[in-house]
Amino acid sequence: MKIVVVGNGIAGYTAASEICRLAKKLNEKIDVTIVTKEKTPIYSPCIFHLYLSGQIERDRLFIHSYREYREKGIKLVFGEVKEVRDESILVEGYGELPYDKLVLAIGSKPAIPPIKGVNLNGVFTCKTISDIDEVKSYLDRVNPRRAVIIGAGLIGVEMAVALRMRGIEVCLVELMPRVLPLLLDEEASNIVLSELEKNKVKVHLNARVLEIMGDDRVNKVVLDSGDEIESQIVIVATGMKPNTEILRKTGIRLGDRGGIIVDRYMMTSKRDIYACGDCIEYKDAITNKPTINMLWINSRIQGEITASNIIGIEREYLGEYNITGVSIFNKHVIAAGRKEEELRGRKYDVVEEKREDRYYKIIISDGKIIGFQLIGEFRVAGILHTLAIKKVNIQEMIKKIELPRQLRLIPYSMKLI
Amino acid sequence: MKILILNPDRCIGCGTCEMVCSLTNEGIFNPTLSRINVFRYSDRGINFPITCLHCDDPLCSKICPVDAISKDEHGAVIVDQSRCVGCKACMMICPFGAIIFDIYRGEVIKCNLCSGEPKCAQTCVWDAIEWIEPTLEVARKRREVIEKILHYSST
Amino acid sequence: MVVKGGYGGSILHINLSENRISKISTDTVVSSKFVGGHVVNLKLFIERFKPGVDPFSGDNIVVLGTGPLTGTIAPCSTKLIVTTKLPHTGTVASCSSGGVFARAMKFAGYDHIIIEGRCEKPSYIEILDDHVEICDAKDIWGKDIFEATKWLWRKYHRDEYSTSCGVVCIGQAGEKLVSYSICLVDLFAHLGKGGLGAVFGSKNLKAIIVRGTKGVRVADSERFMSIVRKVIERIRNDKVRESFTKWGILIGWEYWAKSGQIYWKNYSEAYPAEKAINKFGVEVHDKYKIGTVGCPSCLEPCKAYFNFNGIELYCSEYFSMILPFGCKLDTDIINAAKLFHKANAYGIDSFEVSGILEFLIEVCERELVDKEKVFVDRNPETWSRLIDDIVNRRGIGEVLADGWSRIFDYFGKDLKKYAVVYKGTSPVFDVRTLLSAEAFGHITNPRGWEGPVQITVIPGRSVDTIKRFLVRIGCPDDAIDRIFRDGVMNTARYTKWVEDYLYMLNCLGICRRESSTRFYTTDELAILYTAATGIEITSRELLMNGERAWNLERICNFMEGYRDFNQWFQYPERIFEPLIFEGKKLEIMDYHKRRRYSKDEFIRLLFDYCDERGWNLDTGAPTKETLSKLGLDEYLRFLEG
Repeated sequence: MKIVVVGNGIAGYTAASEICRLAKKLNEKIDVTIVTKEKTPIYSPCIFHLYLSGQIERDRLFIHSYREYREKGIKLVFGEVKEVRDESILVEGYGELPYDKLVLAIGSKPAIPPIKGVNLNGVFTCKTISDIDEVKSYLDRVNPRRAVIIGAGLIGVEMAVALRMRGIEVCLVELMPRVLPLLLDEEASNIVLSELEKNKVKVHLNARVLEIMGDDRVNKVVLDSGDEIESQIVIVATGMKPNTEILRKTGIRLGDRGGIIVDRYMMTSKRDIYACGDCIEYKDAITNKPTINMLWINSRIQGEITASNIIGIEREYLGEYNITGVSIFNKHVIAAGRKEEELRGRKYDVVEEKREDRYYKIIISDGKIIGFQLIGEFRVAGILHTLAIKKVNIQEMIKKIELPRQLRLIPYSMKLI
Repeated sequence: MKILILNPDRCIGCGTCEMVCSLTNEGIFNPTLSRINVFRYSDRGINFPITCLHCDDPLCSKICPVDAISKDEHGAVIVDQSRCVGCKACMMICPFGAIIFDIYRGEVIKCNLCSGEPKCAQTCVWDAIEWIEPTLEVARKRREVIEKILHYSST
Repeated sequence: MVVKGGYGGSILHINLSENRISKISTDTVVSSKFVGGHVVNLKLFIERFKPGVDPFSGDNIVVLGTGPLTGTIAPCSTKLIVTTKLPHTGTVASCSSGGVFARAMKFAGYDHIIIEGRCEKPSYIEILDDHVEICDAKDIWGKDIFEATKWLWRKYHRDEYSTSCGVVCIGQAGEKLVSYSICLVDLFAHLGKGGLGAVFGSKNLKAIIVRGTKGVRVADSERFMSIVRKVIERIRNDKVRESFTKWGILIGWEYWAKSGQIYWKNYSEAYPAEKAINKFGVEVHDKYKIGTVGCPSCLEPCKAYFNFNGIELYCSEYFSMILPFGCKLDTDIINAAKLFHKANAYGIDSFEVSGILEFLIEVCERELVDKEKVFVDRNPETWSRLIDDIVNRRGIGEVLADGWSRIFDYFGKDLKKYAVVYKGTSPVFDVRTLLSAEAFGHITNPRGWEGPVQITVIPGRSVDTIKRFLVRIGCPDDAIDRIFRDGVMNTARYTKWVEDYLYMLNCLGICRRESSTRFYTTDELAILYTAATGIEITSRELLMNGERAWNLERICNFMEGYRDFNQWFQYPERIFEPLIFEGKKLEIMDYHKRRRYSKDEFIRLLFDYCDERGWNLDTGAPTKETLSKLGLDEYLRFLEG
């Protein structure tokens, strides 16, 4: 069986290496090729900010060597996929590559807002290794005094912290009224805001960038408020969207936001084509609603399930996790599931406590945990997450326990009462 | 193949497992560097040992952004310390809260089953930690214990 | 002294008045002569002690200490020793307890904490590794010990550090300077008989919280572990391990009941055995016990958590409830639990309170006091009300809160003969039932509390058993001969050695309970000490540390003014009146019940005790020769004047 995997991110790599591993175990003959535009082995974009801050060296970004690909039996073809056909794909510089099964792990790309000047020298996104190499060399060459980061989502905040740790002044500009607006409700977000400001990151909320100005490179960013921020480097971190443009004319079903729709066996609307990774849309593990959660762990799990189904061992995908952790100087935030803000009109309970160095909020609806936000708490996160995705009825559990406070027997779960 | 079984109903909270673990792995008696932790609810007379249960399909391994976590030949889920960058993603996903952050190293540490002969199980006098062949009997008893303590039947 | 491990490393010195915090390096203070814990407490205390100091003044020093084995894997090693001048007894003495605190202190890097001065406003001390701060206690002052401790636990995330975060806390009784108020350590261990709670209260110190993450190293971990493994195997194979952990010291209840060791009616009678067994024995205990609780590092924990029909007794020692309240009031377990809960919440000593109230019952029955001034009967309600009054210093409670001397001043000094106390402390043992070290030790103890509780706590141990025990603890052969040479066991001489042994354990940080110590020989403890610290020591030298501590404590009291044999060796006259038990009259006999002792003969036993100790018979204090022999020449000067 000839299997072609498009994309050398964690989803594609996992799918490919899992197929090889399972095939070897079952003694099946298969031929696996990864087609990738980037001429590097797989790297981890999750830790770009650790590299930019100087905490790790560049070689640690590459998590598996070419030798490992060879040892596993994965072939590599370098080139951009131009067309996806029913039994083959067209790769630029290579030609036609036939397949029996195709795995689309084509990932996501930055959603860049149409700001005037966004193409100036010194304006970067942080999606690929070449983006990062450009940023790093720019930082070394130009030694910017101040950076503006557009977007205070996960990537934006991580980059803000990383650049601040290099001693660069940082301005974070966010459209919404909060930092990390998609992850956190107001209370937790304010704690993050304080921590950012305490470390001299200037944050502009409810602010839109009107124009990025400069001559041979950027030197100023103009906000809709009229504020003009002098800056020598701009990072655009306004979100990602599935990289599925090339699939528009193929008949493969896409969701509203461009995500490839897959069934629980990771198969697309076309029989021999599977998809996994940032590019897909599937139901959320907690809410069961269709979602795109671009997380490393989701890509890994999807890759494994795709591989299993391709080999012939049926496995179902239970849903996308929506749990994120981010370190902001001395505060570590973990958020999962729904936010309180999304629950307007619905009945829910909140267990919340703010203390000097810790914060937690657990949202319970219909007896089950559907979301939580933690600051400074680690070990309870996995327990709460597991209870949430297993949809354990907490109220039932409490009712059946003799002493209500006996729930404290689950380490840390005392916070539920 | 043997597995690690924890029996909270037999745990007296002495923390000797923590001492032998930190001594074996770090050369010092220090519960904060122990890969097994005892949670003593002394106002309830209940003690819970928590450590990695070496899942068959470990979530920590899946979430690690540098692929530092894998299963070794003893079935132990181990962290390759040279790869770990200390991002704490594994800590956040572990369903048992069994992974610990070593502030001195800036990396996570976790139970590695002491290369196949877990010292905590050897030392525990009350058999709150056992290193035994899993039989149906053992699995059933374990479930009984958890249910008795939690007073609920799982979903 | 080059120290290679075992110790935390620092001695913390806190001056509350000046808000000054400094540290001394432990290795400048310790040696094989002063291994740690109790003996070093005294060394640090005596340097700063001002004889005649008011226990409630800022000049009264409190030294907290633990030993080099605390914080290691050595089983049963988390002992906290606190030395100070106590208000209830007026003597310099040391209190001890288990709990997590001692261990947490070691993990934070401290072997001892010296506290002097007093805070301007209610405060607590926060020790988080190197960070030490005196914090505002406004959120916990005025609260009972349970609430205050839990507040601190939550604030400092104790649940995540449950074997390395400890709290010592006082209740309202300590805040109100009740003479016999105590502290609770981690909610389950009692600390401070003699009024340590009030000493803390007088310093405006509500609590100390310590959390340590540094750990403890040992010099030779292989040698250390080889002994520890042996000890752990003994515990694993111990036949009574399960039952001991199930019932704690209640395991000896039947022995006690049947030999007449449970006292009531102000020590004129012993409680009927069958009643004691039926009302409070193991069947009743099992009905209410929820779970076992113990000190970290203990492999046979002796405490438990109970729920008595809604009254949750946090990790109490059942024993400490049924003796002072259950039996003395001849009431049921629920009433006893209510009173004990109240006493613990307030932080008041159950034994002392019951001793005072029983005394008042007797003098009321004898119509020696004005019923308008005070009325006490054998009624739990009355006791409950009076405890409230004492803690709040209301009505007669105001007098009772200040202890015996105030009581005698108020009601008349002629009532002294009805107070069955040793240096102001109500006893738990009595020489009329059994002439054990435990009972005899009440007389020699610096605060009148029980003698070292070892194998003679129950009757009937054979001479061979006792000899074997003495060998195990390191008692030299010539001393064993002296103890048994008269054909009858000389409890006085025996007591000296068991006292030294107890204090030696206190120097290492090892639990004093016979149930814990029976797994160690003193030889092994010496090897453990050497393996931990790198300092060579023989078991003889180790035991001498205990003797040194005992002598230093006596010196402090000599400086305080106890320079007369009769002034120091106090005992109540009642022990020379027969004890009524189930129709029998019990009088002082030797441990094996072979011969009687008249009063004179009994007092001669005290001379034997002094002889065994090398103490002067006039002063009841160490001779110069004894101090020299112990290497305490630098303290000779305190014997002058």
